[in-house]
Amino acid sequence: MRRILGISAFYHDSAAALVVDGRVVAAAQEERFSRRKNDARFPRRAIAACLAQAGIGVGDIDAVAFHEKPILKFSRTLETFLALAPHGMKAFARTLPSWLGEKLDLHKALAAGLPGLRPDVAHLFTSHHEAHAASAFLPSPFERAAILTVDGVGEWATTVIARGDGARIEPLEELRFPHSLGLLYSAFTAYCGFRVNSGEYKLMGLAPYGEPVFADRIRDQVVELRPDGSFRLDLSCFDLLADDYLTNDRFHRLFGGPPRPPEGSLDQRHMDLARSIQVVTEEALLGLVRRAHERTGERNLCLAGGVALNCVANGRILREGPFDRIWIQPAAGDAGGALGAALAAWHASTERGGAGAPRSATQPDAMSSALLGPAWTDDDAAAALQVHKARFSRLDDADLLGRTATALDSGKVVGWVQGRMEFGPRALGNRSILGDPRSPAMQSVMNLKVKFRESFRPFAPVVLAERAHEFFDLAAPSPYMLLVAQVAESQRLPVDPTATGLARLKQLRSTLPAVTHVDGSARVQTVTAEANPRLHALLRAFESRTGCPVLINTSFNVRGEPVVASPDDAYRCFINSGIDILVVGNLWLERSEQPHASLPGTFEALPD
Amino acid sequence: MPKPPTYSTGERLRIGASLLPPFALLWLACRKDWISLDPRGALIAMPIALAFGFLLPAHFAPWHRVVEKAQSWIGRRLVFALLSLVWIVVLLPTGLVLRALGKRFLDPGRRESYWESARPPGSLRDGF
Amino acid sequence: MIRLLREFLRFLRQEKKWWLVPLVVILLLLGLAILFSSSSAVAPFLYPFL
Repeated sequence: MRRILGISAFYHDSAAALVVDGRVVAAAQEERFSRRKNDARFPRRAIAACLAQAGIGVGDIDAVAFHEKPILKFSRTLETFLALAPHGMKAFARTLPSWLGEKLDLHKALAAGLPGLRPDVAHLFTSHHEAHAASAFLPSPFERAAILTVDGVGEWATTVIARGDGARIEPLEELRFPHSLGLLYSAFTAYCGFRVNSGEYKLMGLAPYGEPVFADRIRDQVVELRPDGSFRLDLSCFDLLADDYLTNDRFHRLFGGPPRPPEGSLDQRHMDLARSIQVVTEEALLGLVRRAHERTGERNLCLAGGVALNCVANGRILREGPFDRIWIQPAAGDAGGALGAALAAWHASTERGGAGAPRSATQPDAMSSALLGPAWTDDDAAAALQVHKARFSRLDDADLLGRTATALDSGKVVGWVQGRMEFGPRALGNRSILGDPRSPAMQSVMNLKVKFRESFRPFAPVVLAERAHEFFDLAAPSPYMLLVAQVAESQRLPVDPTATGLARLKQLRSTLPAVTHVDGSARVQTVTAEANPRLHALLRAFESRTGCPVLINTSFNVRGEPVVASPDDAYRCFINSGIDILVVGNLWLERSEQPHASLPGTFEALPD
Repeated sequence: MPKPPTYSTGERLRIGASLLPPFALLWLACRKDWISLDPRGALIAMPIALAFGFLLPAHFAPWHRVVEKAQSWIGRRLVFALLSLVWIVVLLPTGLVLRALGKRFLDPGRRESYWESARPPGSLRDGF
Repeated sequence: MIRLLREFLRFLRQEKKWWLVPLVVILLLLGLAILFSSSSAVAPFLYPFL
């Protein structure tokens, strides 16, 4: 069982991962290729990309691992309907066809999705949280660690505490559906008018504009937090039969009105709600982390599950939690389940010697900096650009870095496409839009003119790891942009404390105004020369020109679009947005020289 | 010039079959004496229609698409109705009886702790 | 589908969830019927009846 294909599919964010002899060779999300954000369909394009990366075909796969136990999950669905009778007939008749169609009989779905698969190839299934736990621990730099996985729901579990030791993962205790921190956060996301499963970041970004005035009400009436870290939702506040676990009238009365319609006006109440649920989520997570510490006695913590993408909470876990070190799977959401399932299958395999055989942890981790997607050569890219009759020049490395740094310094916005695509929701400098963080206007320029998104959303800084401490109060490296830290006091500027709400957006808060959120925090990515030599070299070039080793790093896409994958996607996005310069490998393109004013996009625009 | 599309035997058969429903309706109408014609006429027309569809698939492909859409529309509603029936006949009584017997599926009720011991991992080969 | 039904019944026995048996059996039979009616070999001959 040397080549294992991991798959997650059919709920949201489907993905594929390929593990060969225990090494993660490739991993990618389907949305990047299908150009449909959070695409949940069978990830045939992502699978093809992973196999191409390894230079193998479907017939070479030795095992397929799926990230969920379909029978267990289906039985949970049925039991939920039993619990809700006499309500739910319509929801039942609406939900079941997809189960009877493809989601339940996965042997059939896998065979249909993988034509050419050898008939002797085993179909393996990990549970949803086993896959998350495996993705959190097995690639981590720790020989042993406590593992905490927190997400919406998989089969029954919504939260699992486990212990990882060598290659063995021992689940200890769990909280069960529908008592779920992920679903609670999503319910508030939907209530505030954002899309469930992708709008959670917006709610988190909105939180610093508000005050936690509803926090007590949430603790008293919506979620009961126990001293031992466990919790229970008050189900009378929720509508479990709605498609996306939405809130009901009682909930709306509690929080002062009906849900905000998408694109409706954002007022102080929504900001206060965002802040309140963020505060309660952080408390709940800290409780869970303390419990995980008590139960395992370990000094290291591994995190995964969608809630582990809440980087504000992660920052608090690092600062206030009982663990010495934490490692968070960069693809902490369901896409990472594909990776976890494949790794779990490899570590349990008899070829490896079973879960009892030792595993040696890789430093700094076994994720190859999450750069696990496909890459394009300069020649491929040039061919793709020539189709559009694009005007570009090919530069050597030194010239390219110098010109890019100069452009950034003069306030230009640069699209930066290099090497292998990132796996997971964050662009980490290979499919990124970069800008100058020192510019006070840059946040609104990039939000409104480049990415066409809400003005309140903050941008993240990428910083040379060796100089990160000068700019941010960060106690550990943050290679995956999963930790939020305060901007260092030495960089802060005094602000008017009487301003409230979105008025605070305009205030100059630090020497890096474009990446400093209204509460003085920043979602930092630290980069070393080993992790991403190209991005590191660019930061060096910018630093030697300006003295500043920090850039804005945001994902290369516009609102509603998946992050770009290919040079073609990048060129279309470049033309259709306000990006000034596009760099693809060593190719240099300036907006003013291009023959197009716009190009048809290839993505399906969805409300994001 | 673009190549004309080619049709497999299966596709030809499906396109031919999509011509049958009008004749089936005609046959029914004649049988019930809504139309005073000999129903055998409709029966004889059916294999001829099938043959036309089979031999001239390109001509009847648009009609086939219409029938296919109608079929899936009817199919979805049929499945919805059947599942509603299953809900009424099986799920509803099962749920009500189990809950009357004290089974709590989703709400553990107020407790000191909501932790449950973790479900031991099953075999990777099982879907449960 | 038969493989799935067998696996499901093994699961229900292990979990002692007997009360799910009727529901699961009926749903899987229904699934089988839907599958059968939409599979390419049979579909053409069902057209006249829809």
